[in-house]
Amino acid sequence: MRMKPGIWLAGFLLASVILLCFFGYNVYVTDPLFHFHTPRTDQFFYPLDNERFQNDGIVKHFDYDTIVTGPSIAENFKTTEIDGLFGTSSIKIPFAGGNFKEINDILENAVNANSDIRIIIRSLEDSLFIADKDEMSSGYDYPTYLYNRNPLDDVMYLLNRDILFSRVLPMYENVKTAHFAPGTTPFDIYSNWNAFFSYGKNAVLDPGSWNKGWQTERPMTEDEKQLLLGNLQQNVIDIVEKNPDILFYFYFPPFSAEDWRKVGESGKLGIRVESERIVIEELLKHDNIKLFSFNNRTDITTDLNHYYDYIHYGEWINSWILHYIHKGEYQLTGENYRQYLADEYDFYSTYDYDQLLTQEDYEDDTKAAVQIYTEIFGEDPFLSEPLLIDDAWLQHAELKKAVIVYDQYDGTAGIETKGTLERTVNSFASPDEHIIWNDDFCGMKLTIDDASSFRFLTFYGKRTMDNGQPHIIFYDENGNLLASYRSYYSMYDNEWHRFLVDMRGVKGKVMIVFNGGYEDVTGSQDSSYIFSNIRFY
Amino acid sequence: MQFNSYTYILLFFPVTLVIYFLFNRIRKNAGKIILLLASLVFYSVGNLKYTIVLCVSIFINCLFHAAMKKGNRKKMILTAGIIVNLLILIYFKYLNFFIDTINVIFRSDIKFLEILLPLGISFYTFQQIIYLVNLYQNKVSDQSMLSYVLYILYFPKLLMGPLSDPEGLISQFDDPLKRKVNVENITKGIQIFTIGLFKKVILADTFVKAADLGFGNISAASTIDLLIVIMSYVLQLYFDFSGYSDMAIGSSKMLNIDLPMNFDSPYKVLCIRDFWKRWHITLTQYFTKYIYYPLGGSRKGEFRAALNTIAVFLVSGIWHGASWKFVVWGLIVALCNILDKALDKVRVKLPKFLQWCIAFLTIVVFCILFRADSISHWGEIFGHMFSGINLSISSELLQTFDLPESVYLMNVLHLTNLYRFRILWAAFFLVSSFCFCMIPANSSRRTYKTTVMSMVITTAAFTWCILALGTEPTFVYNNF
Repeated sequence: MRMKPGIWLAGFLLASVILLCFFGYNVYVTDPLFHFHTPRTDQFFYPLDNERFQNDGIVKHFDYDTIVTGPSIAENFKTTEIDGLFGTSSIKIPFAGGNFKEINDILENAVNANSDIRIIIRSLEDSLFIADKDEMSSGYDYPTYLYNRNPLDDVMYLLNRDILFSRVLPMYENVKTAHFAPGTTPFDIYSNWNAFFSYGKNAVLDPGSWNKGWQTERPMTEDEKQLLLGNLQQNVIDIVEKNPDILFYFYFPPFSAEDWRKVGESGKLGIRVESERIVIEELLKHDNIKLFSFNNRTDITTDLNHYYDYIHYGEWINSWILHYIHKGEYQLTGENYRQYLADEYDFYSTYDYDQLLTQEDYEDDTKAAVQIYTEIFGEDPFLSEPLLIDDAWLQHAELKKAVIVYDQYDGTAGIETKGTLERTVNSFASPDEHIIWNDDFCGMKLTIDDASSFRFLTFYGKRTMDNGQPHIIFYDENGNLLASYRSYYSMYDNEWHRFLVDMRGVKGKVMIVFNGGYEDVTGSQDSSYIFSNIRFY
Repeated sequence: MQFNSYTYILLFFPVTLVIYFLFNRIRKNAGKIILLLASLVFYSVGNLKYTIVLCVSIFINCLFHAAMKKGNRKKMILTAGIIVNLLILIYFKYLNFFIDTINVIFRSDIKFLEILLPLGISFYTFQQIIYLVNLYQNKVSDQSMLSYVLYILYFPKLLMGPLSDPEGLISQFDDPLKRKVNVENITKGIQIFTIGLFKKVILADTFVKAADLGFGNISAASTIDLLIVIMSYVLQLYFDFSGYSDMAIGSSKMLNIDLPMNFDSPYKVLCIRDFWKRWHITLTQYFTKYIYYPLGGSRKGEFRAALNTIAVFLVSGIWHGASWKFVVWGLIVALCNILDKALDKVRVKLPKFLQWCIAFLTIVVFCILFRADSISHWGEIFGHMFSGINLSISSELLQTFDLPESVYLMNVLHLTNLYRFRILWAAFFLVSSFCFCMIPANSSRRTYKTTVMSMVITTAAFTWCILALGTEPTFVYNNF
């Protein structure tokens, strides 16, 4: 049916405007990136899974008084742990690959949006000191429209098909599922990658790349010094000075000795230590800064079982850092920093790095974690009498696609799961932990009446076929997601491996799902996994 | 500024359209000034330093125009003007190429210069040369500064053409009938623009992911993977470029200015020579008019015509990219053209489907070389393709065809076999896209009716494309 051009044009414009407004309105109402308002956690579940797109919204619209931030090494911090130690209500806003400017900018946005902030915990990486103060982290598609105050470019968020189809519509769909529990991904889980890697020298070292000889050290140039000072002032100190009521906990993260070796090999060991000196002296001028360094805990930095590469350490090291920051140990002061620097340089310039090649790579990655937790608690937490999930427990557990099996690891009972699960396609948190696990899993669901007395869960797991893999999820009695631990089948062979799950942030009555099913229907239907020797400490 | 951006579609163009027609009512040249200012804004957004180069180019050419208008030594001024324009282009686009070539030949170590390539410099340089030649030939009736600058800067064609002759464009700027709003042109322009936008953001931007993945990892690709990757690139190239041209033509149509057709369903051709009459038409016409004919065209015998063809395509090759690969590309294309002409009598006796197959396969070979990083990479691609039949299809490659909409569909339908669905989806996407460029009438030739159906389809496509402008890249990155 033909129309007059004017009518056609009016119809096109009206229909387009209505449709676009409709889509934009739905994005606004749900606001999965928290750009406009606080999350409607009474109605929807908000996955936290994209730092650069969500961190700004988090700082502007969440309720908190403490921030922990940094690049990827900060991603394993647990806010429940911080809150337990410091009596705070904290958020975690890391930026993988982020530099000082990026992290400073988000902190600036935070303090501008929230006058209740009292503590900021932040890492200061040696390798990021000498940098252009205005240069942002490279290699990322930066959604500047979320960070600026220009309302016009919010159209890039409101009329965005990725947001619409990957977030908004699934959020509406999720509400309709059984046992739906609204909320957000717990910060303990947000960006945590601890279980996705193997640790030890075999993961960290690439001996073939060693030059076996250090370049002659060169001093820091004046240009480098000016870059450092500019970067430090603008991207670390300015915010401290503008916010005297906020207590800043800064720390030099304990990179491994392999990192120090690389630095030494390139002739920049002296520059690194000199950079630290400059940074320390500037930071110590401020009363609301507490500065820590763990670089001289060389028993840690030379033990590669704490690392999966030359700089990234396991989440137990994050706990260890928090423990000592809270205690006030390893704090750098005007009295001790010179000796600290001298000891640091002395050790890393003379250490026999070949020892890294010959050290033991623990087959059981939990061993390194146990050492650290023993130090934190002052005792081996795994010497206490555990709650063993024996066959009596297993008989009362809810099993799906799983059977009880006997005489497994160390003669204990366990469950063997078989099958796969439907996966939310392209989901980062796969499957949707807050929904699917309540309804469907390959394994068992246990209820613990009071998890507060337990700090850790350990079990021995074995992939017996194809894509079986462990995924442990903790829910409260209303089905709200509390914590999770997940690893991938590709990381392990078909032998027994011990797993350690930190459940210190889990309190009260909890339901725990042990899932061994592959999280993708493309996986083999014969995929199976055994959980046994399940113990709560 | 890009056509496929929120800023252009929701702000810049609507405001420009309204103000242009409003100011056209005030006085004769007011609208032209608005277009000129809008064009400067269009070019300058995000590219302020390049605007300086553009302004310098305009200034230098104005000097040549002024000298030419005096009437003395016009030919010498024309020659000097062409040379200066080409030198500017050579400096920005080809200097490092020459340095690299000298380094290879003489084993020297001359350092490359850090030269940023101004956007659209190839196009506006050619337009400058066209204007100079037309001025020399007294083919420009309105030689005012305003009309000249607007001719160069006119934003719908500034960055990527279509190239146009001055008189054809300037006469439209001056045409009093075209200064009034024409609702029918606006409806046509919207439809053409939407087709272009769809080609770009839905089709080309999907195919580019498959092409980039595949070409970056040839050795891991199976036979089917390679076929998918090659077809993806062939379609990406077409939809990207023709989509841009459609958006340019559609935008201009709404302003009552007709730009020349630039793509005429080139993949439908039955012979290679015809392909170049349908692909980037205005560039082919430009080279024909300003290189092929001045060299003698086909008036001086077959051999000379062949040499002229080689010259044209060598220039075309080097114009497309500053590397020897493009020179080789130009040479191969030229030889194919010559061969095509020589075997014309044989070709026409073949069944049309066979003619089409030969032509299309030849086009595919051109495309692969065009996309390859180097000649050796091109060789590697063909070598891998014929090194053994492997009928598996990479999951990763299939996932490049995932759209947020298709992923949502997979989840909502609770599909149990994602791999199979993805194969079907990728096949559907490829086949329907191919049909889209083969079956319907070309966007510049079809009739645009203002029917309810066309309004519904245009609205749906337009809305979909607007939503597709926004993305949310996900990061799975633990590197420091």
